[in-house]
Amino acid sequence: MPLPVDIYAWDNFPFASAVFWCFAIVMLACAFYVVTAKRIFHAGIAMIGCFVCVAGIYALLGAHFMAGLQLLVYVGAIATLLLFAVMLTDKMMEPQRKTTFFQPVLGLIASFSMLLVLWLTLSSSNFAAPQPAVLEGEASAINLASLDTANIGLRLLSPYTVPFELISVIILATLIGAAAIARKEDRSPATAPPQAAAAAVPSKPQEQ
Amino acid sequence: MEQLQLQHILLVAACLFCLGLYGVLTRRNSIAMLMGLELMFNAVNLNLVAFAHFLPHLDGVILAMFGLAIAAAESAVGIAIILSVYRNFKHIDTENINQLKG
Repeated sequence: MPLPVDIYAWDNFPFASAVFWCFAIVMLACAFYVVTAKRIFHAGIAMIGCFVCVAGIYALLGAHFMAGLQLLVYVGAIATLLLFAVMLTDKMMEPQRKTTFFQPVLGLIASFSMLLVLWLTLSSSNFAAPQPAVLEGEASAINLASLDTANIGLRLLSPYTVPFELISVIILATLIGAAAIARKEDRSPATAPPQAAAAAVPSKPQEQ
Repeated sequence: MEQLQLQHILLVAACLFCLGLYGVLTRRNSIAMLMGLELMFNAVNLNLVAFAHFLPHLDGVILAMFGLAIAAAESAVGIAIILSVYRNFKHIDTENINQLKG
């Protein structure tokens, strides 16, 4: 018997706003440390905290499947991959070289102007009260207003089949491409002597 | 106690996006730049999920899922390129990587 899922249950939760602000403040603090930390390994650890807080906000918003995906993919895969890349390429516990003076100033100017534009857009736009989702022509089994996991699965298989398959093809191509780019190129034909290659060919039928 | 509001979430996501932008613009280490990029991806996904919650419509979450898959793919290819660059240059500072065919 399926449990009744009410996506607005968390809205009636008395401390929803307070919990959101706690997550948001921790997330922004971690993100600030990510972009300012001198040691890049510490930045990677702070990035994990930022991802976990984002997953908490997803769960607060009722998107539980998205919260699980965030933990699995970002914390479990991407952060681990980045930390391994740091350990493979860098002297991770040494401070980064100092940048020039103008680079942080220009970066500050650019990001603050971006924040200003976003803030002006947010304050000037009027987000109307939420209206019930239009259900014309949609399958009645899918409640589009519910961010439930079962609904996401149904929705992925009925109207979003082609993008779903395209995403899997893209991920397969990415896997192959990443393996091809990152492998060591020690099998170039110049290094292998031609006599060895010629001698290897007749020995094959004897082994079989 | 007041309820969650869409504007607050969008504002937090905007702050996160700008922090990521600052990281991408000021860092020299390629992996740190990738970290800033991931922060920006997270801000965009947060926006999408917030709209899906307040609209309310399911498609925002599905779009965020696709974005997450693309982010994972981008991260894998980026790290493969960084490892390849490190093998050729012995460092990954973006200012000193100035030739494509080493």
